[in-house]
Amino acid sequence: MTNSLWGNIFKTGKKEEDEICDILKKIPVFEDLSRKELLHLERILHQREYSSEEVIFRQGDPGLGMYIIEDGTAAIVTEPAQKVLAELRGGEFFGELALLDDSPRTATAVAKAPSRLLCFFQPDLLDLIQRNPRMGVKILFRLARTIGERLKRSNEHMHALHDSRITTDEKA
Amino acid sequence: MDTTPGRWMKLIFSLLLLGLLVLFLSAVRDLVKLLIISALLAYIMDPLAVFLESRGLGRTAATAVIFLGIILIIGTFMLLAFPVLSREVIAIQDAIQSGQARLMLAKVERYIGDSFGFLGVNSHDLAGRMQSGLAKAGDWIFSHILDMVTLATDLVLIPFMVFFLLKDGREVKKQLISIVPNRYFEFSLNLLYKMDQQLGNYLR
Repeated sequence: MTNSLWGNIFKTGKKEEDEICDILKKIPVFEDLSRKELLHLERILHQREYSSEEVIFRQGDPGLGMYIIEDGTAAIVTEPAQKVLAELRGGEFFGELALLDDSPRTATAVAKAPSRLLCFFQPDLLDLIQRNPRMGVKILFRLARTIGERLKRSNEHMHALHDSRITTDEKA
Repeated sequence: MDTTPGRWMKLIFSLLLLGLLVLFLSAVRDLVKLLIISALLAYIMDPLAVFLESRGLGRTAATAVIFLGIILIIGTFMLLAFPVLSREVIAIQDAIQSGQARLMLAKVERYIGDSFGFLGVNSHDLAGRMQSGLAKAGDWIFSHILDMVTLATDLVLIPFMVFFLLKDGREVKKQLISIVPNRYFEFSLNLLYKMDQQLGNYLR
């Protein structure tokens, strides 16, 4: 952003830029990106601030992209049961499935403390793939891998459940 | 509906702000017009910049290449068309000065009189009409000199605006989106994306 004409008006500090880059580097989806590419990505991301208990997105809303917690805490809650599925802190991310899929959000995300989030949306990813296919492929490949790993874990979990059910049935 | 004084104050303040915005926009309507034209041109040129970016150029370089291309095309056109046009103008001038034009006009007038005399068209005074037309054109140019100055200014301003909108348009859009409250943020982003897709299908 600093190289733009309006850079002086909308400038972000170098220190903040470095901090964001460090956070992004730790996100599995962006693991393969070089520092230059991370800086490029940082310029695409939207930075939002949420107050405590403010809803980030609601269950059933159309999914548009992923959120990375720069600072603060967010909870993923199912509705209407209000069951907390996960509580995420700085450096963690959620909603990455929405980068590939337009289906509605499966849970509600709520900020549990004043939080600063980085948002990466599907339109920005599509635009990035057009402008910088190399970088886009790196992100997509990592995204596919993350989702694949999650699917593998779900399968293992299902198998474990299935096995434990058979054992219980045999015992009965 | 909430009818507390705070709510009324908010409503009055919003209306006042809206009124001021309308006043401001009408005061700078010429600039707004230029901005709209520039934004439209930048929007049309954007796929070309994206294509150049995908070939490894930075956004600034891609924008510069597009502008160089446009300058080159206009320059080549001027270079090829200018000698032909000036030759024609000189030929017309010579014809008028040597009286050839007057002779030709007399011939045309005679032909019209012979062929269409039955319609009652005999005297047309083509030469006189041409002279008065030229004089009118001179007057028109003189009375529109101010408009021409404005046009020249626009012709200088628009390319500048297009250049910077093409180069930094994405940043401007991002900053505008950052103003949207959190509740409507995803919705407005999605809406903008869908509008861009629909509009792009018509314009590009």
